[in-house]
Amino acid sequence: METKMTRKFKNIMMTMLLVTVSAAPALADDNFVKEGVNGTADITVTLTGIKDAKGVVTAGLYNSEDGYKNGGSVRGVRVDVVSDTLTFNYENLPDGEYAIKLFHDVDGDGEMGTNLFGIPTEPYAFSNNAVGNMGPAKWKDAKFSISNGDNTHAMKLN
Amino acid sequence: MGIEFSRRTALGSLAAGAALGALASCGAGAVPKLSNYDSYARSAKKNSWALGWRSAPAADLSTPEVKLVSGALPKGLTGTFYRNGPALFERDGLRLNHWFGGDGMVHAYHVGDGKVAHKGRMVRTGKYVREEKVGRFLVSAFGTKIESPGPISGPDDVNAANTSVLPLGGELLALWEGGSAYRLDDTTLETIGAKTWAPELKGMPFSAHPKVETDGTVWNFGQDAFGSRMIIYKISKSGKLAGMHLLKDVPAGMIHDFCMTKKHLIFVAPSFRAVQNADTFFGMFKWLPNESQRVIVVEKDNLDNRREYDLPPGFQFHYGNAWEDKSGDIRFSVCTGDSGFIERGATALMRGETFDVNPARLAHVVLRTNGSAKIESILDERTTHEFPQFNTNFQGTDSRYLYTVGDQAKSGVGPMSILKHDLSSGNISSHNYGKHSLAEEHLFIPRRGAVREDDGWLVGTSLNLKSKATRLNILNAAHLEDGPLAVLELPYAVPLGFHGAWKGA
Repeated sequence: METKMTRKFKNIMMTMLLVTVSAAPALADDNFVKEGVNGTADITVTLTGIKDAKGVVTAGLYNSEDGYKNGGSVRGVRVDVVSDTLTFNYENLPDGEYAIKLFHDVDGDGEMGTNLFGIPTEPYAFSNNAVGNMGPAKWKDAKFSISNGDNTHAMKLN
Repeated sequence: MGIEFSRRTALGSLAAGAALGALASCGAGAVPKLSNYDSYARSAKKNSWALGWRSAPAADLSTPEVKLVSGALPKGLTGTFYRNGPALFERDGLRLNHWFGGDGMVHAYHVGDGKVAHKGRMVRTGKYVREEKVGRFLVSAFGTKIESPGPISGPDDVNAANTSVLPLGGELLALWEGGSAYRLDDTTLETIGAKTWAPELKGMPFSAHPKVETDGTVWNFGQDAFGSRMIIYKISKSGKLAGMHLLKDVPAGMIHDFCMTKKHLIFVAPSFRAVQNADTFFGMFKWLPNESQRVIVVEKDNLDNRREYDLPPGFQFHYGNAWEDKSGDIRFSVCTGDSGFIERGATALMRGETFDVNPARLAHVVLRTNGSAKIESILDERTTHEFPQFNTNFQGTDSRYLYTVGDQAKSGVGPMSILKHDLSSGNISSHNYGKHSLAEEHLFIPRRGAVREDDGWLVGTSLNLKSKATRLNILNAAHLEDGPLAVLELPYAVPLGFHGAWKGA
């Protein structure tokens, strides 16, 4: 008996699972650069809140709400975790609005860990340290602006 | 009172002079409802029973020697009686809407050396620690919507660890049902952290009603009502995960407890189902009076072997024993009714209000090998029954005795009796704690080396409304009608809780 109400309700609950999907940028290379997205702005991201100094942080950068929601990043990095903080850079970007999703692949298996019910078991973060409620943080909460030259952004794992 | 009356009058005349429909649609026609906080505070001034739903007097409680009020501690009873229950209901002027949302406090009554020592500690869940830091509720607990909530990345972010306890593998687990069990030091009750049975089970629900085989093997489940599935856990006596199984196509009825025969696990998905959108977990459930209950039976030795039954619409929290009879039919006892208490009783209590709901009947259910199922008999029509217990040395067998807490008041607030049901003769013996007491779950503790099923003690707490203090009662299970062998009293009242467990010394 799947009523309209239950479908709606299930959709709400499923957004929790989307944290898994959309916090985990799919990256072909350790350093992904989308062709044709070039400029003179750089971002240095500092990540704190690392509990296990091992594994890899995978971080995707997005320049639109659509890309952020549906997985079209303009830059991607994978950084080995060796201490309780790390920094990484996104370079040669046009100025404008961006958001970052990242997760700490503690066991280094290349995937964001989830339990059998699909709830994330590895730490993650969104830019602005935006938080989701039963789902990923929204673009409007995670976006930030950069201008030409050096920019910095601080993030903390959940 | 004067202020309330004039406000009511003013609103009344306003309503009369205005377009009623428009007012009703924006809710302005209603008399302003007192906040939960104010309603409870007002009630607590005149209703002594409201003490049962007042927050614990402190986050950590300790009484090295609990006062003996009457009788004497029986020889041969040594061990620790652990209990858990919601114990923090208010922060920053906000009182929770639902009893089940309060943060858990675990108690240890250590019985030994001719005395009883008590310890109580709030479980330091992630939720409790974060909220303690900022002095307000940060996440929507079971049934209360919190404004400007903090992040929720999974069920453990709202874990109240408030329902029961399980001593296992040298630790004590504080149990909730929607998320992880919390590990505690079984002596100091200090919180160690969330229990992870295996990496892929991190943050998974672990119900507050694990069942322990006579060999110490533990079975439990965790329900994902929203995903129509359930995880089944098998855990060794030493506390190691021995097996798990994902059960799919489990209807979204709120499953609080289950029962277990020698061969089978029995889950009943009641007619209280997660079918609607809401701000809180509890709000998503709705009583569906025409929706059958679905019974799912799985074989312990082959969890893929499953059969299903339908029972008439209903809802229950707790089960007694379950067994297979000679013909292979499965029988179990249960305290069954509807969703009245969870929907209206447990919310009224938080407001300090009484309520009138249908009783939970003590019933026997049969699941026949021919596929039919029915409630075969109601064991006692007189009262509402809860917290069924039996001698767990007889787990999974056609045991003779069942113990319940019975409440004969229509309002659902006392007076209360402890009842012993002789299931073979139908006889009932009982002890009534009197009109100034609210009784809680009583566990059956077998005497060491006992053969007779009722050779042992009932150990349970009650709240004495005259002395405004929590009592520990020890009764001879063979003769409840004689009253307690020993009554001890704490120097404080702790709020009424849910479930306990005994760990023998």
